[in-house]
This record gives sequence, C-alpha cells and structure tokens, in this order.
Amino acid sequence: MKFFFQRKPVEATPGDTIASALYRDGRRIFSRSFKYHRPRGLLCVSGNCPNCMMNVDGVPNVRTCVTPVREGMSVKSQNAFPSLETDFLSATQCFDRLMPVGWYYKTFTHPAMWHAAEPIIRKAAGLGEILPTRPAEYEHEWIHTDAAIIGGGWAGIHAALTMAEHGDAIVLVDDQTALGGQLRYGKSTDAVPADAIAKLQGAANVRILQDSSCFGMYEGNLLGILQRNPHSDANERLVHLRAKRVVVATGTFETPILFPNNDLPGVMLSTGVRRLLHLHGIVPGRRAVVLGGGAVAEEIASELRAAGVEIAAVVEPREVVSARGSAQVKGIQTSNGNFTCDLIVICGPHVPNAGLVAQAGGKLEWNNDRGAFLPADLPPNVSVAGDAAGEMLPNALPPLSTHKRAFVCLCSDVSCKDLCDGIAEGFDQIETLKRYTTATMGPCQGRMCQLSAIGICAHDTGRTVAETGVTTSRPPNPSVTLGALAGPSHHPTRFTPMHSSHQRMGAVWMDMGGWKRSRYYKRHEAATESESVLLEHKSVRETVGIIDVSTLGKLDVRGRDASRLLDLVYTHRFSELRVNQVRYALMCDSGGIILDDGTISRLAEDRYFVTTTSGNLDFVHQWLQWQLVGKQWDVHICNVTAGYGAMNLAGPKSRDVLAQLADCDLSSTAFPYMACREAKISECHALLLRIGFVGETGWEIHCPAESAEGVWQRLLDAGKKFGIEAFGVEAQRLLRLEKRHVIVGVDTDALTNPYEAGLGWAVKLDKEDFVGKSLLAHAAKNQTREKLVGFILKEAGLPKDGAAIVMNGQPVGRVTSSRFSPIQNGAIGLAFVRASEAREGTSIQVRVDGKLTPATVTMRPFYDPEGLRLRQ
Amino acid sequence: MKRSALHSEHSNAGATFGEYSGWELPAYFVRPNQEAAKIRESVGVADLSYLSKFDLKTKPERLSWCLSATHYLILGQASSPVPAEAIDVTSVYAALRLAGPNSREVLRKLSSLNVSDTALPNFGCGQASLAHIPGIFLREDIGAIPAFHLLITRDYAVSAWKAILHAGREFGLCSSGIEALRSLSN
Repeated sequence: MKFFFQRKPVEATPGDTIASALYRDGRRIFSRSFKYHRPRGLLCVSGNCPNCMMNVDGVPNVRTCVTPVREGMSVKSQNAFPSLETDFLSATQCFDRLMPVGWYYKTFTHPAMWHAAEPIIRKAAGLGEILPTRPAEYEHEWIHTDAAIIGGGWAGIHAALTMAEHGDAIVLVDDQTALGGQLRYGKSTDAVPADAIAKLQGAANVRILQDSSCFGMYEGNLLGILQRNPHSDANERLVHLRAKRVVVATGTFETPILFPNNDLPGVMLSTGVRRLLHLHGIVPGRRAVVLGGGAVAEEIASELRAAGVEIAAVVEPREVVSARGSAQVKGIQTSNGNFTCDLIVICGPHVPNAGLVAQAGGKLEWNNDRGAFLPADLPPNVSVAGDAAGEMLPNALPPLSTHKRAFVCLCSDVSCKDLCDGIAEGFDQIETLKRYTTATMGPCQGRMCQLSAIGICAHDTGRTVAETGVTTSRPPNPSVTLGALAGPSHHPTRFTPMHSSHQRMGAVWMDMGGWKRSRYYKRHEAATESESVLLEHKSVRETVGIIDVSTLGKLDVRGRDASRLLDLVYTHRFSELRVNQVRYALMCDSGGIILDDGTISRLAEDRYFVTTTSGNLDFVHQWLQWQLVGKQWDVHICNVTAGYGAMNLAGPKSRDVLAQLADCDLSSTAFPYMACREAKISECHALLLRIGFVGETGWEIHCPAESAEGVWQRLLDAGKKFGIEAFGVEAQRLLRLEKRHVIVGVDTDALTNPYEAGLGWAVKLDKEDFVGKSLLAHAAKNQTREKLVGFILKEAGLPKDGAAIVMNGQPVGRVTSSRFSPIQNGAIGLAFVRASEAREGTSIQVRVDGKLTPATVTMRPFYDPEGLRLRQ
Repeated sequence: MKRSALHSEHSNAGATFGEYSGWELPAYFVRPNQEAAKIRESVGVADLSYLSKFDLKTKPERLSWCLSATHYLILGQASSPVPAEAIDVTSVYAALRLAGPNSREVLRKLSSLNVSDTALPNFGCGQASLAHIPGIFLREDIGAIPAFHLLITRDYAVSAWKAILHAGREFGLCSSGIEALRSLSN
C-alpha cells in the first residue's frame, strides 16, 4: 500500500497504522509540542498520548499510532514550521523564564496587550487546523440492550460470553481493530482466545461494536459511543446505547516516569514497545535501556533481546538522573553510570481506565497496596471487571521530580517545576492546580499525567495521595467530533402541497418556522425583489392575486363542549357564532397578554375549524388541551394543519375567477363577508372562508392536501384572463400593513394586551369567566402605557423594524413593521408610542438610518379605512 | 387525481404510477418482483399515503391502534364501518411502509424508539422522533417479514423519506411500489 506524508510517498503493509509505517520508514520525530515546540516521538503507541498527532486527509489531531493506513491517505505534520526536523519556534525554550506557569495571567494585565499578543500566540502554539470544507458523512444509531460491556479484552470477552449464555441481549464495545485487548501484543499470539471470540461473533444475541470508543456514561445508563468507519458510506457513527446493566472492562493504560528530558523521541512506554514488536513486527531500536524493576523489567528486556535489540542496562527508576539527546535519545545518565542507547523503555505505573465509573456516579478511591485509584461505591447495574477493577499487578510508584525539563503534561508542556511553582503560588488543591497549570487539560485528558500530577501535588502539600484525590472525570473522554454529535445533515423542512408549483414560477424561498415559503416570485432574470413585490401588490389591489397560506395552523375542534372550550380560551364569544360564520379569534393568557390570533369558523352545532398563526400551532394545541385537564368535557381536538392546502384568492376580480370553478353562489348576498361555506371547486371538496387579511374581496380556500396543488393550478389557469399573479409573503405583509392588520409576534410582544394593540373590540368582558378576564377588565378601564398606532413618513426613507420613535429628543416608542407603500408613495408602518402621542395627526420623529425623520400618526388604516372593498 | 406529498420525489426517481383509491402513487420503480425480492432479502420502503386514517378519542368497536388511553387510530379500509365521531385524518398523514428483515436496523439509525421484537411486538405501536420529525410507528409484519407503518404529517414527508433512503443505503434499501407489497401479502 502507499500513502503520502508531506506529499512524499511512503510504503505500508496491510495492518499498519500510519505511525507504524512511518516508524518503519525511519521517522522518529512525529510532532512538535504545544508550547516549546520540542520534538516528540512515539511514546504510548496506544492512542493515549498526544505525541503522534498529525493531520490526515484534512482532519487535524489524528492519533496516527492507532489509525489504520488506507491507500492514498494524505498525512501532514502539525504545529511545526518549517518542518518536524527543524522547527524555528523551538527557540521559545530559550525564553522559558518569561513564560512560567500561569504567565498569561501575570503578563497580559492590560486589555490592549492581550489583543496584540493573541494572534501571535495562536499562530505559535497549538494543535491542528480545521478544513471547513472537508466533506464528511456522520450517522447516528440508537441501541437498546440488556447488557453493555465496554472493553473487548480478556475480562470483557469473558463477561460477554457468560451473559450471552444466559440469553441476554449483549453489546460488546471495543476501541481496537480486533478483540483481545492487551493479549494481542503479548509475547505470544496464542494468548488471544480465538474460540471465545468466534463464539461471540456467531451468537445471535451479541452485537460487537469494533473500532468504537465509549466516550461517556450519562443518566439512565446511556452510553455515548463513537464508531469509526462503520461502513463505506459513513466516516463516523454516534451510537446512543442504553443498557439495563453496564460492565466496565476497559483495562488500564501505562503512564510515564518523570525525569529530565523524559519527552525525547526514543523514550517509549513498555506497552508501546510491545505493540510495535508484536502488532507491527517492528524492532523499535538497536540499543535499549529499560527503566523498571523486578520481573516486569526482566520480561520486556527478554522480549527485546529476542527481537535482536541489545540491552545496555536495566535501571531502577530512582537511579535515573536525566535522558540525553536533542532531537533523539542518545543516552541516559544514571547514578550508576552513563549508557549510550537509542531507546529508553519505561515500565511505568498502570492506571485503571475507570473514568466511566466516575461518570456513572461511582467513586475512585486510592488503594495504597495496588498503587492506583480503584472504582468504589458503584451505582446499581454498573460493575467493573478485569484490570480496570484493580486486578492488574500492583504498581511501584516511581519517584517524582522538580526539574523544569521533566515533563508531566506532555500536551501542554507543563513540567514538574511548573507544578511545584503553581503549588507555591497557592494553588494547592488538585482541582485549582489543574486549572492554573492546565495539566491534564490537553488532548490526552489526563491519561498520561493525572497520576504524576496528583503525586506531585500530594508530595508538595504534605498530604497523602488519598487525601489529594482525583479531578472530576467528565465526558466526552476520548473526544468526539462535533459533526458526529450533530449527525446526518438532514434538517427537517416542511413543504406545502403547492411547493413544486412555486418552484416552477420562480419562487424566492424564505424559511419560516421550518416551512419553505415563497417570499416573492422572480418572474424573469433581472427582476428585483421590490419590483416583484410591487407587481404582486398591484395585481391584488387592481385585479386578482393568489397566495399559498397552507402554513396556517389548523385545528378540528368538535364535541358537545367545543363551544364551551372556545369561549373559555378565546376573548370573543364563540358559542353564539352561527353555523357557516367566521369570526376573528384572539387568545390571551391569564395576565391578559396576547398569545395568538386566528379565525374560528363554525361548521356545525358542535364542530369548529380553528386557524392559528403559522408558527404557533403546537403551542395553541397544547394550550387547548391543557385547559381541558381535570374537566370532564366532551371535546375532541385534532391537528389537521398538514391535511389541508390553503390559499387566499384576493382582489376585485377574485369572484370572477372563483365563480368559474366553485359550485356555490358567491354573491355578497348569498356569501357575505365573514361567512363560510363548504363547496366543491372542480369536483374537490373545499372549505371557503370569506375573510380579508389583505383588504380586498377574497376567499381563504382550504382543500384536502392531496388535491390542493390541482386546485391552485386550476385557479391560476382560470385567472389568467384577469391577469392573476401569485403573490408571496412580502407582498402579503405590505397589503395587510396598508389595512393596519396586526401580526401577533411582530406588532405585539410579550407584554402587549389587546387594548394597546387596538384589538379591544375582540374582547367581550360581558362573557362568563374566561382566561385573562379579570386582568383584561382592569386593563380596559385603565390608561394603557403605550399604544400601537400607524404612521406615515413625511420624507424619503424606510425605517427598520425596531427603529426608535422620538419626541423632543426622548425615545418614546419603537417601530414594529414598516414598508414602502405605493398607495401613499412613501413609507408607512406601525409603531408603539406613548398614549399621549396616540392621536390622529400627532407629529413624531422616526430614526431612519441614524437620522431623525418626521412622520405623522394615524389611527386609521392607510387604505380603504371603511373596509368597503372587503365587503364588495 | 390525488397526489402524495412525495409525488415529485417519486417522479424524479423514475416511478411508474398507478391509481389506488383515486390516488396517483408508484406501482413500481424498477420491477415489482425485483422490489419484492429486495424486501424479502433486506429492506424496502413504499408510499401508502392513500390508506384512510381516522382519529378517535375513545376505543372503537373495531380493530384500531391504541396510541394512548385517549387516542386511537384506524388505518386502512376494512369491512366494518368507521364510527361517526371519528375525525378523518387521511389527508393529514403520509403513510410509509418499511418492510424487510433489516427494517429494524434502518429504524435504529433514525429513532431512539426501542423497536426490538420484545419492546415493539407485532401490532404494537409507539410515538417517537423519526429523523427529528414527530412520527407514529405501527408494527404490522407481512407474514414472517418484519414491517412497519410510519405515519408522519404530510408537510414533513419529503424530509422523512429522504432520511429513510439515506439511512437505508447501508442495507441496499430500495424504493418500492405498491405492486411489490401486494405480491408479498399474498
């Protein structure tokens, strides 16, 4: 196989990781550290430390030591200029005196200094760069199971088999490329329990998630899992796994020993050496020094000898003085002599990987005998098995250091001296020391450094390790791509039944509450928005227009107590509404504040058709159901919004158009304003409401969604000879503004009551008790603090929504809606002003583009104030 | 003729339409027996929006789906009449039929609803999000083949259909016409 590193081809064999292929190719420097740009090489070879992070195919911070090679991969180094071999910024080490622990807080004490320094620091220090345009496919999956076992090593395999034999549904989660855990890189491959694995793979009640990291345990035994490359069409899959029981069998990870220059390339953990030897068949060096004692050290030494590596010495950790070398280990200085070598093998302490236990609500308690924090106080249904529970060999804790080049936190270049200085400055609790020094806060999330940091903190504060404690484990650990959390980029969009027709007519789309609505129609290439809106406006005022209003919320409310409910919730009387009549419906909360408006049509004694504003349907539906709680009323409410396509046919010629298709009498005597009829339009059953949001003769036509597009098209065809135009939301906004029709949520806010909005006529205080009655009665009698009025701008300009209304230099209100009206040939709008300004003819000033522009208040609609056009 | 919310989608996918209870819906996309074979072997999804649907507050005398103690749904034609107090919601919902041995696997990528055989047995139902869209899940197997009716309000139908096709790629999910489904029911 071939892949590319820094654009040059590199050979790889199947089974190689990017790092193993590069190591075999002779590379020893894999990255440059965050702050000092020190050369870093392979250390853990397990995906636990930050040393091997590179940019792979546009993705930053990829741990190349656990990422399998794929043909053609493009791999680049990070945070190193001009190259990994020579990084100019490693000169920062010379200035380390100017950058002690917490130096940001001490140096940038003036705001200007930080703003000047920030861009430089961001360029100099860091991890990877994101390529925003990189295409990626993310998926989600939800799994419910009886038992989840996290970790596919010996303990996990054993637990899975036992539980599977009982017949439970099992999910086994393992972050490696194959099951077996550390048995895969032991001395002999026979240790891997192939039979047990085959049994699990064949069991119908066992699901194995390979290449999957469990990054968090959430409430209710919900596990978050990130699976890499689940199949050829997806990069990552986020699995939400809910299990009745969870077994944490995540094993341990080995951590480094502290001594000066312990971060040099060539210093490797014994686990890392074993993975290179036994997983990848790579001899990691020629001459090695093993740091460790007893049988553990002897064992790794013998494995290296068997691979042909010369063992210069086996050294006890307390004898180490310093590692030597600049870009690569050249030797080691000990109290028993100096040795040359190109590999230092650390037999470090093994830390149980038990963060999930802490996230589940358990505790991690220090066990002196085992030299580790072990899980305790486990919540019910969570158990720990294997090395993670402390079954590994006891750790001999290595000595600590205070040297400025003995690194504790490799991710952030935090040295032992930095930690000691931080403690000396007063940050003597592990949680504050962590935050001040940033130790454990880098990509390794504490895996490499937490134990050492706790050890130094304990030692320098004279406490025991148990007293010092651990920092809080929080998910996600390991980290998760934000894209994976978001999932597939399907944003649910709501379409009306007439969507394709709008598309064909050149609709320019806008998003409204999840719906795609036509803002206006672009009839030819050069048409501008204002031209199109004015054209649409003209056709409605002079001939006929048609708009798709299918987004209106619609509720079918029926039952013996339907009238009672509507009388209770709305401010007008609906029990008295005659059948085949429509009425404006205003809804207030118990404080008398406007919640929503719409229309209510009575279709029969016990049947109503309720419309709401487009965005508020869900709320109104819930509100009505809430009002029914505890009452034994006979009411059935059904959300039928999507079941009807709705269109508003409006204009002086609308009757002529509709008469061609409708089977009912449309004259004003037979079908007056505010009446409703069920009729047939070209064989399609429809509900016709004669109402007029835009102020012209017109009908709001509701027909079953499956037939709506056909009706829409036939109306357009029938209207052709009258010059019919489809009009969009922008034209509708202008038309309704000229009639001074209020839009709830635009011209009203969370404090507006009906009297302020000029809607007091819709409130019937002589009704029986209804929602908001007492406070509405109070508001009716008392002077309102502000009122919604109309205004006409006296000079050119167009105020923005929210523009200030000014009187005598004082802000006294704000504009709620404003548009250019061709009828006034100037800007008109609605605005809130003080009650004292709310009189016909008052002069006010409106802030337009920063300039105070004169305007006149009007209390009447701008167009057809008597409402004669509507009733024609 | 009556059209489903997915009419353009089906048209763009090259469907051959047929008439079903006055609705113009795909009879097949490729060939009925090919689609039926795919369903038997893996998974397929079809548009059955023509099915009549009725919403009730109290349990009717006839076969229905119980969504809650005060919410019942009647789906499809049957010999017994529909109670007078039922509200006809045929137009409100698009009805999709997901069928095949991998139908649960597809649903698991779209919803947190527990669709395992025990949690949602045959003739069981539930309400949950389907690709971030409120959905009604009704399990009705076709013989030995696991199958589900998925009801979503018509305005969301295109988004739901696309999400199902996307999630189903991994299993070779095919768009199926009504003829294929009918052949499986016989």
